[in-house]
Amino acid sequence: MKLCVKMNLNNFFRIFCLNICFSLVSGCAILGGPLKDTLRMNIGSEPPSLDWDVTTDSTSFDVVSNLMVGLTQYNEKLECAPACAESWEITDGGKHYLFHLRSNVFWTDGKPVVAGDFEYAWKRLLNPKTGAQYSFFLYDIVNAFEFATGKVKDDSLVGVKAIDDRTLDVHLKKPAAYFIYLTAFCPTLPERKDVVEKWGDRWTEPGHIVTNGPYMLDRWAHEYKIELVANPKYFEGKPRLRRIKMFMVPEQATAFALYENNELDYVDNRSFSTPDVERYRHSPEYRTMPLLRSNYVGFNVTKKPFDNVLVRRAVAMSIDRTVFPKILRRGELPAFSWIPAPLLGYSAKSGYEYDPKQGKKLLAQAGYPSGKGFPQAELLYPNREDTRTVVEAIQDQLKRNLGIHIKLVNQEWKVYLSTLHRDSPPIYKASWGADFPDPETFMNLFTSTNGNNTTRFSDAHYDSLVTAASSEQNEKRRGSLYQQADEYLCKDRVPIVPTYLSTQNLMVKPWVNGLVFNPLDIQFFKNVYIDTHYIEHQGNKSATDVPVIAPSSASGNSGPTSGATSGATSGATPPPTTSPATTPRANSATNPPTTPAANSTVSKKQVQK
Amino acid sequence: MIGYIFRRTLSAIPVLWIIASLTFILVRVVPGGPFDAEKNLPPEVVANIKAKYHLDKPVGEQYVLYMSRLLHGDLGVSYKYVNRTVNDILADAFPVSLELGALGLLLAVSVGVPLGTVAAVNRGKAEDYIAMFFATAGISVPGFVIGALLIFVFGIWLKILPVALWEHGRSMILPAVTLAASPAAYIARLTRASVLDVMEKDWVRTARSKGLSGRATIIRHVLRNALVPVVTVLGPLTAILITGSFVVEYIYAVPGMGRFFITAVGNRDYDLIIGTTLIFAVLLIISNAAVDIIYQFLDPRMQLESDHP
Amino acid sequence: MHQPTRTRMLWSRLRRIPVAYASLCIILLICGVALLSGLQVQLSPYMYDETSTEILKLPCWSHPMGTDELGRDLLSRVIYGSQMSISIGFTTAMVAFGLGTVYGAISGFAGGKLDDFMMRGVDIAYALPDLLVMILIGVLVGRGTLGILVALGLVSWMGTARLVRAQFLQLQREEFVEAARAAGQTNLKIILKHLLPNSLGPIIVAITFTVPSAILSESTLSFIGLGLSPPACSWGTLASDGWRSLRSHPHLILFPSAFIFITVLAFNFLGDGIRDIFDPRTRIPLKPLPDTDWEEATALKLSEPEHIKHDVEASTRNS
Repeated sequence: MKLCVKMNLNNFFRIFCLNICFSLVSGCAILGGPLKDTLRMNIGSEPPSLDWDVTTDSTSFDVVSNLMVGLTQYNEKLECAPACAESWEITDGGKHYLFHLRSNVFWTDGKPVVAGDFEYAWKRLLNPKTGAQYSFFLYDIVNAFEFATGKVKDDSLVGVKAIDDRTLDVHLKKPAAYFIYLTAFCPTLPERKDVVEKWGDRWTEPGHIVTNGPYMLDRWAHEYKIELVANPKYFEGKPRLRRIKMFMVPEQATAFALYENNELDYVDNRSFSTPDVERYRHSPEYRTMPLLRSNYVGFNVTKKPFDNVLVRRAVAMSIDRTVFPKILRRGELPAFSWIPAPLLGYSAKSGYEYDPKQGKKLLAQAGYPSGKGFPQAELLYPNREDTRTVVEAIQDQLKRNLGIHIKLVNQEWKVYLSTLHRDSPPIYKASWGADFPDPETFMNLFTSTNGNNTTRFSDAHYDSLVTAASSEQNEKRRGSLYQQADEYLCKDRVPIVPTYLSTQNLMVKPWVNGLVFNPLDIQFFKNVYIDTHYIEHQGNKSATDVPVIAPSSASGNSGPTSGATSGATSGATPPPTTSPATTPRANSATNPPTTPAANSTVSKKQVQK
Repeated sequence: MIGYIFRRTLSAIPVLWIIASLTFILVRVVPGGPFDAEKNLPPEVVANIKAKYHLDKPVGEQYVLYMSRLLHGDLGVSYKYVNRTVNDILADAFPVSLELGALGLLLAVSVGVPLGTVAAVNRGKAEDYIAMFFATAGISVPGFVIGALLIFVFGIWLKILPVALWEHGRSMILPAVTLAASPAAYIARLTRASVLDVMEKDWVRTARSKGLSGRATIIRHVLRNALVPVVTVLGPLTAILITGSFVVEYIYAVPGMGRFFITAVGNRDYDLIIGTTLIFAVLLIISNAAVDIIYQFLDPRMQLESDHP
Repeated sequence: MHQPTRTRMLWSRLRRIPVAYASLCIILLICGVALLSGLQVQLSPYMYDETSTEILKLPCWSHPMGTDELGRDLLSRVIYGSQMSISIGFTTAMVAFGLGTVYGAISGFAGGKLDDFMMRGVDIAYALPDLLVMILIGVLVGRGTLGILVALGLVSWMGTARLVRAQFLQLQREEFVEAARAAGQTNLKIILKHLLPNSLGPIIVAITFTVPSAILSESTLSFIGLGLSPPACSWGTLASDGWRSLRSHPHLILFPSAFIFITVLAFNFLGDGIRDIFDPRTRIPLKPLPDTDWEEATALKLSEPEHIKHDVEASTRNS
């Protein structure tokens, strides 16, 4: 068999070049630009599942929060507002909740949303066969824990019941003042028993899924994009956006390039690297706000040398928190106490001020004058670039201020988690994001029975304070109890040293209106709309339309010491210190927190341009 | 011929089995499991989840279960993408990777072979040096740097090509070119070497001396024999393309298998890892076998079982 | 043995290929820098991990390559990175050499069933895409130099093994091996004294190509996130770190990539040159070949296998 290859080289090249030119030309017409009624954004990765009973991933919540609405939702002031439930009564000292549902909320297939949908969903969440990682959310309900752990087999014994189509009856084991916040959060959203049972594992695919929120699931191209369309039957009125495209672009630089090319309408931390933050810090499109995610240095209080409380206090006094926003350069808020700023019970005085001299004294008292004789400890941290600069700064400070040498050890994210949970090292860096906007989610972490308490800290006084606070109905007293617990935690026992709050950094195109962010980092789009007026008059113009590379004029600028640098609209300062009743936010249980960016360990002298 | 194909398929099976087993062991030995999460689960819930995925059984039993499922063509379920089987995921991702890979291969061959031939024919002259410089340069740059340059030049600066995603036909261009750069250079070098090799063979000179014109000689005889090593290398070239696709898919946000593999490793998604590995192995085995068969057609002198270093 | 003069002959041949010779010089220069850096000789006024407040500066007098996000001088980091990259490249080559040579030697020398079996092993190893193996191993062994070396070494040995095996198979039939056997030398001695030294050519070529491939693979691994863990840096980690700033601060990716490029290019050219000098067929022309090369053919009297001649005749009839 002879191969008659007519390889005329010239022809080959000609045809090849023609092909390329043709494709280029055919594409020239469409360049990136705003779409009149579509919002395009990047969620960074594939949501593992859209089944809101089962999923824990923040990307899933980003999608589900726009597909569904629960008993309550939050309004612009981050307060818990009625949604499916038009009113509710709290009786029996805070142990009994009675929800009265609206009659005009419908599923996308036309059926009304009834109390039975909530009962079914909640019981499914607790059912051990579902394997839901967020089942602990509802453990305050009578018999919930027992049902989830298999001690009780009959789910009708669980304290949630649909009395009729419009009434949901919930009984708690003990009063839980934060319970109402949970009802705005994804795991407590209603589900349709018939749909779930009919389609099984596939019930969330487009075409099967039924939802009741402002948008509907139109298309899901896995590992690529999700498209939502407006729900005309949404009970608050059809949203102004017709379509939302959520792309999954994992690489930050690529995503930001898409934004610069006007192919994305806004970017958040997932798509916004620190060099780009530097570059666009003064742009009108830039926004920043603190999140309810607190970063801290944790100790395993049962291991030497940090089993000595004096040592721990010394460390707490010897870390200058103002360094972190300078080196991370994303507007981080230094944190001295555990409860983050906007929440109930927060007080700036709950933690130690930066006082290296006192720290030295305490260390000497503990038996290590000037760090002599201090055994070398290994600080564990997950392998992210930004985390590394943070721990390097901590290492540096401890060396300078206390004379102790800490070795830095990093592990891949999964391995790191596994190590922390199995046998946490003497000292490590960690962070914790709020599940719901209430101090309980933070304070509960260090109680003796909490499965996520990697510090092995167990203190009866602390436990009693937190338990009392969680059941306390009076808000003032509750706040004071949490504050006492916080102070006890951060000044007396010190199993952790809070360092800073993470922030969200955004770039938003000028034609996007109504995009409001919140400290729980949930992205709601129902009030967003594209300003067609802007597009008509200004076209594509945007702050990132710079054809030539300009050297970053921000290099060497004094970094923000606390909070935002741009005075843009959405919450540049921490929200007011009321207890914001917002829809609780899920922690990305399988993804590391999205605070990218590496920065310099700036020495203490003033940063000059 | 049929017999040969049949024998090759048979001999591929133990290879695949070994690969599956090795990967199976490897992923389970790696620290960090699929359900290690930031929020530690109560042990009862963990037990339930593990039971659901048979992770509570001893490893030996898990292995047997997995292998028996595999024999039925069931690649298992994904732990991360809770509602999807591995078969589904790969069924979606495979065509994308195939498209990208095929386009890349086409580009690589259509650029590499002419380039190498031109260099060989003009050996020692400027064309040779220039062509070979580009070819050697092509294998000297990491893939993500090529991608970076292309994105910058065509996407950001000139704004004529999409920077990423897989939305239009045009979206394929930059990823395919990035993918093809290294293989094209590799093929060019190889073509040059083998064309030179064949050109020096005496029987070619004999043909020349009989009066065949230069170009005809090259095209008819030299290339056909010189392409034999090039076809040979198409086997491992598939491997290079697959490998390159990881980086390319990641940079350009293309929903292909490479992306799934990388995220699966990060998530310790056991079945997805093994499934993707197996698909890649199958691809390689098929391409190697196809190469051998084509080899057979091209040059009857070659033994089917001979080795080619 | 003719070794010394042969070596000198090879060396003189190499010097006559300007590209290869220049590449060798460049490589020696870079290795020199890497070595000095490894010996902790301070080649630059800044330390590689010295952070400062002058972040993201473009190249200027005090920072010829600019600074990165933490104010570290890029030139110092590139110099330090050379240490890691070059050592990773060479170590991988050594591992590949060691593993591959032993494996190929045994396989080629033993022949027969053992050879078949061992080559099956190579086939299986080839059947896995190397990045895949590297990722799995990188995660298994953990990040850090050891992990990378293991991963890279494990994917690089196959080529050398095949080459060595082919050489051994071929050399075994040579007369001097027969003579040695007849003289009663042990197998091991035969391998070490006769087979190996004569296989050095392809082995050296293979190693010369393994180094750049390892450097490139390491940079790809770093890009995916499985490279060296900080604070250790190599050109690969520098280039992949710089990727994020491509748009705003391209110097961060340009310089490390340039170094990777130059080094890998030099090794590739050197490898080409070495291959040329070892291959007896490609006589290095001392000047460019004239186009009248073909006329030589008429002067040659050659005997060819019958059917090939027939082939040629048939096609000349058709042309």
